[in-house]
Amino acid sequence: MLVCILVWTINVRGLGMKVALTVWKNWISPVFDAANMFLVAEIQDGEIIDRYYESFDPERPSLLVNRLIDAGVSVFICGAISEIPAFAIENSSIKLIPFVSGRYDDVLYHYIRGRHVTSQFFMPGCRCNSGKQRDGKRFSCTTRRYNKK
Amino acid sequence: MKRGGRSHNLDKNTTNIILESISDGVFTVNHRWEITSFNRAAEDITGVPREEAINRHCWEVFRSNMCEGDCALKKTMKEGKAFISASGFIVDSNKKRIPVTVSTALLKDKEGNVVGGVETFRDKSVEEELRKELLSKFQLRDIVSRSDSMNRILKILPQIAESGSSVLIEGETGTGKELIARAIHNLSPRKNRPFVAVNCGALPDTLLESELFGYKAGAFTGAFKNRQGHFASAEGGTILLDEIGDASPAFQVKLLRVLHEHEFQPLGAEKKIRTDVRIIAATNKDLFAMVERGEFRRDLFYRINVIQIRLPPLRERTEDIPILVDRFIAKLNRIRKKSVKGIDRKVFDVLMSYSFPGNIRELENIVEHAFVLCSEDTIRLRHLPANLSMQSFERDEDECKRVNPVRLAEIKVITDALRRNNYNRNATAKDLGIHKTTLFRKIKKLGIKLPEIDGRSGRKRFDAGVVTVESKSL
Repeated sequence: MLVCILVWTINVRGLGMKVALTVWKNWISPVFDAANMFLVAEIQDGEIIDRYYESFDPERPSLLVNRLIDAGVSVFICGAISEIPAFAIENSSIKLIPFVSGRYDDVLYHYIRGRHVTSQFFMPGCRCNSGKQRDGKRFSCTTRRYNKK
Repeated sequence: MKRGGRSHNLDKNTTNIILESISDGVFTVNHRWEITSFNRAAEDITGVPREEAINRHCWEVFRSNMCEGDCALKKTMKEGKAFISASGFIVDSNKKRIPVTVSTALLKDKEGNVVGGVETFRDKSVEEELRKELLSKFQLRDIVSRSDSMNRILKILPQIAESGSSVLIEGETGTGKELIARAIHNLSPRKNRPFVAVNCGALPDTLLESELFGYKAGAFTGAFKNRQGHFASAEGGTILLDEIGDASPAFQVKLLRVLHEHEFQPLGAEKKIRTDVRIIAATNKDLFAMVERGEFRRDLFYRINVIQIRLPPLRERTEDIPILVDRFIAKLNRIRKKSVKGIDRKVFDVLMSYSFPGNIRELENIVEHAFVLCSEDTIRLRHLPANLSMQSFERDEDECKRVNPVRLAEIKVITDALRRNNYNRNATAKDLGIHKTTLFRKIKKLGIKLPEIDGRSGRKRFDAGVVTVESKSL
């Protein structure tokens, strides 16, 4: 727990980090596979010190991954995402947080303040905690069970 | 009034029953794009429970590729008219793309006021599977398999192809790495652009660099004019870097730079050239182990290893041997205008128990060898290469009684040496440590038939070692 807090403090509060989010109007783009714009936010000491938007081709996730790595992005937040691009991102050094919805400013605000991307920001039907943990293990996104009639 | 009210309730119940019983997903939205109703089929297709879907924005629940730029419901609300059967896909919570068709209409109250929109959608997964199967059978026609492991790979190949990501294909020699790479290219949006295969292990560094990146006139002695490299030839298409594990450390650095910057510099050129080429790398080595041993660059490994395909060796998919043999025989019948119908049961047993270190390529060579010698309608043991027929004799007791194992061993040693020395008799005799007249005598005595070539002619390649042995001599 202490290690987690320390890592978060170094990344988010201290030395600075870059987070990228797929965006559509004021929202997190609902589907990565059809998105065309992402926002890169540079965070230092709990504040956004720089932000810029870039367009991308979702059909070429490996190019996106290379660009994100080149830009120094370490966390990628997006909406629904299919297996192949998710695999491409998860297989890199970037942490993927998929199936997120809501206004991207709200998501960023909460993320900066070290709160988890809580259930309020996850898409309905999804208890997602996907991506790589810091110890290298992978979470998977699971469908919430419901009783079929 | 009372009767009218009861009638209205009945209609509402009936509507609900109908909505709950149909297999099409149906949801309605208000003017704020919030979901106001969500039927059972919508729950089934999207995987989202109704109680979670209600009051959420439709794009958070439906998650279609149309939501962002081409929303049919938005068009309906804007233009006031219905749209029928727009095609797209949704992404469910398990990251699966589900193909759907969508129809939309305005939702009006009793007074005719527009209160929102209604969207119905149909899961087209089954139809799409069938369509893809037909399509993939055609496009993957060079790859046949009954094995689960191969079919798992073939099933995801279209998705891998569409993704545009770098692919690393691992597999022993002869497992079909280039075929898979070609299939990925043919199924990808780059299919109308070139596919170029380069063997990184076959060329020395400097030559490989000029082959891949090209050169300018005067770049080195003999470079009289500009020459385009493979990267430029494959622009917009796919390049297969075969035997990537054999690339030298210096070349790995250059390749990494191309992958990193999407630019390359022809030899002798001043400016870099932008490149848009999909990279597929293939190797018969364990690249990860090479990375661990420091023999392959870790950063390059992670650049090319976005999607990894590991092809199983033929000995792990023996169920494919009969189908592959049939295919090779059919192909050879076509090419050589023969009508060989199949293989003998004993040949089948031999093939099924053989380890095939050379995998499918070796099987193809064996079939071709047997095909050349076969003048009947069935390939028999005697048509197989000596090492295989000997293996079969060892297994077959009856036949073993009729053959002399010492002679078999002699035949094997001599035929192997002949192949090794490209059928040059002098070299073979030296290799075996015997005089060439002794070799000729033994060849005659053992009934080994040699090809017409003698190894001194300029022919580069021999047809799968066409050495035959007269069965009576055994």
